[in-house]
Amino acid sequence: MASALQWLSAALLIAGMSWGLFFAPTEQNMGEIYRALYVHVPSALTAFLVSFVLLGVSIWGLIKKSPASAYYGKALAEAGFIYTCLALATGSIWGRATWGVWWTWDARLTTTLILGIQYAGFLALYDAYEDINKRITACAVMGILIAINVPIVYKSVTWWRTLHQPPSLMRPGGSTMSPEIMTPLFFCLFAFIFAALVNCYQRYRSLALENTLDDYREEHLAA
Amino acid sequence: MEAYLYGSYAVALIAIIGYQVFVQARIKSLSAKVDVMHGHGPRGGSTP
Repeated sequence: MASALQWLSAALLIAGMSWGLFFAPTEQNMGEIYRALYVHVPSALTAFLVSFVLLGVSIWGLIKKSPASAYYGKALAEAGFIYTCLALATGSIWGRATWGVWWTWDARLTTTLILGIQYAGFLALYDAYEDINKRITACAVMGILIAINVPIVYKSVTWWRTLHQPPSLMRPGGSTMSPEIMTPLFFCLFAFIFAALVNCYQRYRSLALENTLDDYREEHLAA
Repeated sequence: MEAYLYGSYAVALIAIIGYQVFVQARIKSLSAKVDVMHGHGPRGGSTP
């Protein structure tokens, strides 16, 4: 079942990206390079969504001290890290085409880079602690800090003067995008989120299996 | 610049699907070890 969901998520990703790359209309002002939108925006929004799920898992971990919360946390942090890196990489390519630079210390770019470092920090903390309770607490605190940063990343384009354009999708008065451009964008967004959730569940399973094996080895070494 | 555009799509696809393949392979390998641990032998193969 889970394997079938992985195949489905891969098919949705390929369909969405093909739609964006080959069949969506060319944008008048930016030309072909605007198609980076179909990878850049879903990557960033998926990284944001993952952080909110991670917030829920972190609070659950702090209250219940359940090992499962640590496994789900690590799975979510890995996904968050991958999607944040993708958002930065695709944004950098788009920035080179429109602003003429690969990177600038713009508020949106800098806060997104901090988000990526936070996700990497979560993964480092997970491996740093042998004791499960300390691991859960440290990771949960980092999970909460990640969720606090996400609204700052989102609002950075309105709070500070930046090169990055203001929100195009969720803006007061509705989006200015045409339906021909927006429909494939929503399809890609759905495909990215679906892939992230399926991957997180599968990664949770693999981490739980690792734990089963570690427990078995410890019992047999102690015996 | 279009080469960069195609490159960014390729990187995204390889990162997401590559991660899926890694996780799936990890589950398969760990499941086989857990089966051996419980004395069932690896799934779909002969006992080494």
